Amino acid sequence: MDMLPDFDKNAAYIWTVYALATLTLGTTILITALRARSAQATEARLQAMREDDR
Amino acid sequence: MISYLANPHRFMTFSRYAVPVCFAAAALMIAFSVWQALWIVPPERVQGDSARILFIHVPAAILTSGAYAGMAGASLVWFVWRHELADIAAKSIAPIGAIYTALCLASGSIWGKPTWGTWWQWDDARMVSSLIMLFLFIGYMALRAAMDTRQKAARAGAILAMIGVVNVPLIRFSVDWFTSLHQGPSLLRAGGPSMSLDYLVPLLIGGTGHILLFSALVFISMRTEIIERRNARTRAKLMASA
Repeated sequence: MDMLPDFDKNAAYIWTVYALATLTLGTTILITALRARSAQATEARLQAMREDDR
Repeated sequence: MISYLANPHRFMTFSRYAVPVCFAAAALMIAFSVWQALWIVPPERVQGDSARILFIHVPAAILTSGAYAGMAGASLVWFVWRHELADIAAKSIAPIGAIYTALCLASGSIWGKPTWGTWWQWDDARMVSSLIMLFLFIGYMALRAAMDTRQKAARAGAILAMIGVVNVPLIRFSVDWFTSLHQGPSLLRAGGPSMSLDYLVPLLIGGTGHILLFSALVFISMRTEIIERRNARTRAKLMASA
């Protein structure tokens, strides 16, 4: 706990905002990356199907 | 530069390298800003420690208007020149802009409670116009989703984005035009920023970091959208040949 800074009576508000920002932006990065991965996997699968079709 | 990248192939090549660079620079800059905000900068003279919330709130607020202006600009380009990549850019900006707007509203509200004694003030033009911005982003995404063809979605979305852009100067100047609980501008004002360098430098570095993070996320979303559109065409060809 010594690693954490010591704030005044408004500490709860400060930590809430930083936790919220980490959660929101972290989730956005994760979802964006997963969606990109899924699209790339679908592209590879469709390409393979096209090759089979030929 | 923009006309060079307007080609989807060139954009895919450029963004393949731009995304990791933007992410790495954003991570360093945001980490520096957060370290300064939580451990280094002294408590603000009037607000005390709660001013540390501004290192999240201010970049989110800048990106709220910046993202919408970008979405409206891309929509205008699509509307005039029917350039597919401009529509992809506008569509990709919307959800990330909405998330930054929600973060701006939430952090502003949490900052407002210890500073002003209230979470929300309905007669404050800055707060209400920022809330309208969130509704515009959500409305843009809902409107696009409600259309049955991509062309109709692009047209309806572009019209809404271009009309809604009037809200951008309203947010910017609301604190000058109306009597408001929200403080006046501290960064972009005549006579230069009003805050001390202790706060200004990490705030600007953190702000740049968030702009780079936003850009990286938009680039990835645009790449995904390009691939998904390509997948839809491949699927159609496969079905036609079956």
